[in-house]
Amino acid sequence: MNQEQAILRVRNLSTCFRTDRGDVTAVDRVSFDVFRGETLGIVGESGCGKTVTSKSIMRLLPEHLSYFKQDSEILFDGKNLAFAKEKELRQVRGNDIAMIFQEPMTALNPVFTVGWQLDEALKYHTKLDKAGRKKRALEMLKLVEMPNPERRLSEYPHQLSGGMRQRVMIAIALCCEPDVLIADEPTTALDVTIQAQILRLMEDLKKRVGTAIVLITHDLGVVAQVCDRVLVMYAGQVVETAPVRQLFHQPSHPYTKALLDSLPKPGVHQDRLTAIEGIVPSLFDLPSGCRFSDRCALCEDQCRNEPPQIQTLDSPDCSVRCHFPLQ
Amino acid sequence: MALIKVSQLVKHFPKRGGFLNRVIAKVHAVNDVSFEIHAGETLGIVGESGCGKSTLGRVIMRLLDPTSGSIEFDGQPLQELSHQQMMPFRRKMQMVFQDPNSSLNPRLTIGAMLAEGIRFHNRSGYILKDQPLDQYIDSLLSKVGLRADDKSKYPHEFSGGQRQRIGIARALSVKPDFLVADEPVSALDVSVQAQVLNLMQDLRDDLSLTILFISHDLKVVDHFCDRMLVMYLGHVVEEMPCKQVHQNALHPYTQALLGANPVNDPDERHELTVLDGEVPSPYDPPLGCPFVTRCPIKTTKCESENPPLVQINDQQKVACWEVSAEKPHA
Repeated sequence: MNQEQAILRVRNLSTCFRTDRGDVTAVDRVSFDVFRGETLGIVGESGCGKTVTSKSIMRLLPEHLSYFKQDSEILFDGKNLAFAKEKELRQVRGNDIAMIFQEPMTALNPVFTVGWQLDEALKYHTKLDKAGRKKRALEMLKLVEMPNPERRLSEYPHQLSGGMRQRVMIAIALCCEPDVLIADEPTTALDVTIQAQILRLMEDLKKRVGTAIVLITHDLGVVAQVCDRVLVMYAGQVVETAPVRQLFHQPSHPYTKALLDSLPKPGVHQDRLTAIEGIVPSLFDLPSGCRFSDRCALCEDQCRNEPPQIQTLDSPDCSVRCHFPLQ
Repeated sequence: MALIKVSQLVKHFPKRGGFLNRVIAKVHAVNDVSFEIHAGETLGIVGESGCGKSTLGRVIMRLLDPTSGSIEFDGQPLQELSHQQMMPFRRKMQMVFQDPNSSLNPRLTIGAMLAEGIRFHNRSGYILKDQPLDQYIDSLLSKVGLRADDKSKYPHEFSGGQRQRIGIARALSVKPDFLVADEPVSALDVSVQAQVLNLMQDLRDDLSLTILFISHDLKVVDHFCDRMLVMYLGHVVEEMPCKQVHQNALHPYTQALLGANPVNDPDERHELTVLDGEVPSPYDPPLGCPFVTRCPIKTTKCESENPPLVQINDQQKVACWEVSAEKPHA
């Protein structure tokens, strides 16, 4: 694996929310590194904390409702973003770490043109003059392979199709050449043929611009297609980290294996799918032992009583949170 | 024997505007669609958003009236029937919706909601032959994997997967013969999706249901159905048996769909098929083949003439000039 320094290091990130029913820890001691030029996938089912993780890194969560635990670290360029001031964050957001969202219609402003929204990002983050910004905006639309880029600059988001809106989002995110791009379910709202276009575009841009991508998704097919390393999350915790090949061929955590087994396999005739019984536990009422214990087919007494710690396996790239990791 | 027979079904939605609010354009949601579903068979409909697959499901259920064409249920044409005359068929045809959050009444308990439909359709005593309502609802809930005491709960007390189970229980509560399932697992996580698909499979086998399964996910349809129709812009472009879609797909659009689907194995990473060209607006579909703007193998003929759906072999039909020229019906 990449021996150079990680660009973004997350250590023991715990994000808590204040609710009417007491405080709840949505993300529990999550740690990972992001290396230059790689695509890190974060997978999990809804409610597992993957979006909260990404929003925590960007510090986009409402401050009056959420807080980080004391030892949480989000290390970027020597600074701990978890406790950085808003002024410092403004330097980082957009410039160094950018984000694209699941639903481009709600992330773009409906009352301004595409050109205006690109211009806004450039105005805050670059020293270009007006003509220069316009030129750069056009370049960005060309970079994301937007059809008729000149015309699109003066169009509003509602005039674009879903795929084109996501291209605009990517153009805005990349216009300051960030080191890290966080993509939160960038293709979930899109049709498969459009998803294929966006995934190919992200691959191309990663090679050309050298941006590291943190791809958050629930779709294991997308992960298999584009990611280099994968983090699997369950009920707010990281349960397994592994390079993508290892994860798909030799999953160590029973949850990862069950998730892979529950997918329909094209070309393979199966009578029934292997479902995971039960449902994800509520964060208010977590099992006292392993959080996956009540759905796990291999659950033992130790799993019910004692929460497993994350442990490194044979290779330093692989770690798993399980008392009895699969061989 | 075909339970459902759809012939030359067309559904247009008018777009009004301009002076005097006249019809200024039409959305061609379903265009000249014909197919049959045999009793006990599961037919899948695949297509991307806006291809008309949900509209087709709703027109068959007569939740929408067709612009032209006919729908026969067990030999009886439905499109001319009045509301009164439709009633006996409403019991026989039921629907499961995509979003279990918006299709369940938040103010009714599960028991009350199920009882409503059963009481309404039980005038002839068909549903509750030998057991009281309460007992029947309990057995229904256990059939879909819920507990009997769940009937006094409200929809918000359930998870997404459980709500979809309730949606299925509601559809099955009146003992239908035919079920339209419109994206029943799209809103669910993969692990729950597998649970619900297995449940539907068991119920289908136990109750010998005929199902029309609508989905955008080719993998799910391939797994769950016997046959599938692939729709594009209101047209059926290919009809073929499932389970061997990878070998069988002939239409360039079906192949593009297959190629654009990521494979669940990093070793089999392939260059995803990316279609060039624009998706045409349904207000203004192309003159010839609907797929002509994005098709990699188009010819000049495709731009002017719409290819008919022709039989390629015993089980497969394709609407493509190029494919049917290559493989004339043996």
